[in-house]
Amino acid sequence: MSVRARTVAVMQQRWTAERVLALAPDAAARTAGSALARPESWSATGASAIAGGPIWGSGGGATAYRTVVDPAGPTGRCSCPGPGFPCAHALGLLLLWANDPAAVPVGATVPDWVDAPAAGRRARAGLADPAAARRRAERRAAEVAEGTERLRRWLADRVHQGLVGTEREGYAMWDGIAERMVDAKAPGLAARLRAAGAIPASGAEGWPGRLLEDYAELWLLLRAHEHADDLDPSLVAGLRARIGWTVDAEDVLRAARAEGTAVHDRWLVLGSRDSVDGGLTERRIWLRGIGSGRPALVLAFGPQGRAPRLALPVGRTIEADAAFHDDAVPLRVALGERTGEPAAGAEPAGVGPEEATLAYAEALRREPWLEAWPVVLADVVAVPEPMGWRIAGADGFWLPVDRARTGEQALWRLSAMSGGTGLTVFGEYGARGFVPVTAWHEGRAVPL
Amino acid sequence: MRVADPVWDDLVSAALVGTGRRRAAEWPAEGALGELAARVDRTDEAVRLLDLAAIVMVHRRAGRRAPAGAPPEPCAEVDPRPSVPESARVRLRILLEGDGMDFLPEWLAVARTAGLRAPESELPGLLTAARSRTDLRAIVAELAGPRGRWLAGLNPEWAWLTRIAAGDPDDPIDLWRHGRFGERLAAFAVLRAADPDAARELLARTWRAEPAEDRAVFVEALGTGATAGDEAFLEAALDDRAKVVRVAAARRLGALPGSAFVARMSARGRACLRPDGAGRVLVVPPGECDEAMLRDGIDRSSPTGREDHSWWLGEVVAATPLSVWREVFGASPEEIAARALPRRFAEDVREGWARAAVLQRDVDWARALAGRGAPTRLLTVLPPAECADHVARHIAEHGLSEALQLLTNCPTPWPVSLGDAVLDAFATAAGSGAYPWSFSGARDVAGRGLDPSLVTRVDGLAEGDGEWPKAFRALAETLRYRAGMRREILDGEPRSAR
Repeated sequence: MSVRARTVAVMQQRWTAERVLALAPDAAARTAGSALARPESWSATGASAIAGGPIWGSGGGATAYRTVVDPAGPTGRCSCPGPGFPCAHALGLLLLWANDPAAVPVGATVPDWVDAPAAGRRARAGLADPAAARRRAERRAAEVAEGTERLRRWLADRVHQGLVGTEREGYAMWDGIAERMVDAKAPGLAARLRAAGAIPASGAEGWPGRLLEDYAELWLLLRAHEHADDLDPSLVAGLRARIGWTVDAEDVLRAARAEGTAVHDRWLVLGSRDSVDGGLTERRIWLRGIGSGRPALVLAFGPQGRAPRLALPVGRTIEADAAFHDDAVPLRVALGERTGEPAAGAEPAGVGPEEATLAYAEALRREPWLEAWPVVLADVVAVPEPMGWRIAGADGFWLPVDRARTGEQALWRLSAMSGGTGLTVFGEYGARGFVPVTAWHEGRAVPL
Repeated sequence: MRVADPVWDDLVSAALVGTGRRRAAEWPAEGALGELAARVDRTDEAVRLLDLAAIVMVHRRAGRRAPAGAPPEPCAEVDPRPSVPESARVRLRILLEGDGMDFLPEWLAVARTAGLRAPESELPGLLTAARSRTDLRAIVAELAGPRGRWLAGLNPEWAWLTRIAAGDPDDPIDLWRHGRFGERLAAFAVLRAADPDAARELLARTWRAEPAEDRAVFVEALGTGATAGDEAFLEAALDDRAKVVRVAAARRLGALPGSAFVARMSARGRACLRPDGAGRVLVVPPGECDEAMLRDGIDRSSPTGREDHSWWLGEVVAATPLSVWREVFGASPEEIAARALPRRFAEDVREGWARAAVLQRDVDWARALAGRGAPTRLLTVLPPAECADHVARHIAEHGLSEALQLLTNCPTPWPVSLGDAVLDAFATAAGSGAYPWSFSGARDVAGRGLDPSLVTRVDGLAEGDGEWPKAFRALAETLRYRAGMRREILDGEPRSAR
């Protein structure tokens, strides 16, 4: 199996998981698809050795399924009774193919059932049809608009009734409205609602203020979305990302190359953090251009319980093209082909706590819904105080820590490495405080 | 940090009771914020409040500055030892975060031998691990050094390190009075080490209130720092109402040189064994079990149904100081053990000597008896290398089926001679068609104990298909992992080039 794969693997270009996930119509489909992206879910799989040739798989016990995908379209079909392409099986098969080359061997013998309707498949226009694609985009926009209007009324009603008593509401209420947002294809809003639901439930002191802050964040996005036509397109890009539209990294790269806006540089890998949301592992990798000095953020996804395929060595440098998304404050990038091997990286230059707050304020001026901004702090220590942890500079200025996103262990590690002496620390500073991600200690970058 | 903000606080108050009951306050249309607020639509109070909240939220976020006034931190002392290489640090984190606790003791031991300090970034993980793994506390404290003590001073959960560093495991008297049994026992050991007589007097005060099982354990604990002053206390314990306590007291007294108990047992022993010509032992078992013997901890009959005279004989020999035999026979343990014993009593006498050797930690006697089919627990008395030799011989003769306990007791990594014996036994078992899973316990112990340099031999055994080669491949994998781990610490070479 592996021998055969090695000889012909060059022919078929595998996709990234992000590209597969961009096909999913909604978060529920992404979750269902990623659950099927395991070798155990398939009894036989294979991929054509010819570029653009079919990828197929069969599996399932009593409810057997046979799935064929033509990545060139992409089009496909599946024996499942689902509503059409791409069903969860197609997504799962593509994710498996993207993430685990050994699980979908290239050049395996093609079963008869794969090829039979191939002619029909080619005859069908499928998803490549621009008119169909436009219709789908319009349908989605209408669904999102309906969802945001529902959320607007819901928020206004909450504030009309009063927040008091929210702490006694169960998660069911939050799950209910969050589900509505998933149905409306606005998974970004759903995730924010679920996070907001945890605040009153915690019963912690000052919860009404923090809940109102979360409502205000949602409200800001809803109001901006309502007036999206009047906004600068670069503001709309970030807005859409927060509501839940995904952009295929390949498209961003292609566009940047076409327009000549891709930034070629050596990038220092400042930090990497994984989080799990809706069954997907999201990896955020922060970079800093050695030549350009620009900060950049790469997102990578892995299906249920699996690490994303993209991993960059923290503290080292890589050479690559980076295509910035069209954001008001450019940060998100799609990373192109890397050249050469990762090389040793120096400890990055940093700023003090005071400058960190100014940098966030400056970014906020251009994009008001920014939650946080990456920053390298120089010469800081982590200090446990009765009122909470402080990240303190040598000048006595300090930042509070965002404990919702920072574990106890990370802070103690930071403290242990400093031993009371200042360190260089990379993290995000924003609305809820500082989140340490990487520390430089004795010339090594140590993930926290 | 909470900063008073009347504008925001008013919005929160209005939102809390609901705009149906209370409107958000009006503010003057002054400044950027006021002018913006004045433009907010006021047809719906809830919408107005949310609009204002969104504006004020962004305003607050943009205006937030780093507070000042953090006092400078006191610095930790400098640790002159070099740190471990980066790959070893990464491995340590994997061991601490994953299920690598089996290999943690070896990692720590190798780092200590190499004179390295623990990587600072992993100190929180190490200090937390050693909270529950008390057996690792001493080595973790050593590797953590001054930085570990500095860190432990900041977190009450790591107070154990502060106490070790101060040579003060809490206040032992306080623990003795108020602790749970385990804590009291530990406190007693500390007190006993400091002042044996005072500790014993402390025990005497609560003695009558202690449960019988605990009394027996405390009697055992008197083995630490035994003094002549213990004798009266232990003699009294021989009359305890609980048998476990009487037995424990007899055992303790037997190890107290010059005690009346030792004199009584020595007299009984002398009556039982003496030389018979140049090469034999004359055995005269006790004729009865009198009240005095009963009081000294010898039962009237064997719990396993052994014939009475043989039983009494074994009990007397086991409780008699081994030094007695040197006098009686005028010879070394080796020479005495080589003498022929009458067949009827041979097992009782050998077993008695072996028990005495373990109880009295007598290396010479353990050595003399170890080669003669004596019980395996004798080996715990021997120095590690010698113990390993005997275990190797035992395995060569009897196979692995009863060796698990022995192997567990051998300090790791095992000498190559023992490793070879274990692998020979595995190979024999594999060749005999035994089920590999019957040996899974021994294989786990071997994975931790075998010298990683034996991996090529294991590879040889792993050739072919089937369950045994599969088991050997797993074992080889474990050895490679450990070899890589050791190499990373010692020369920083990653386990394999990726």
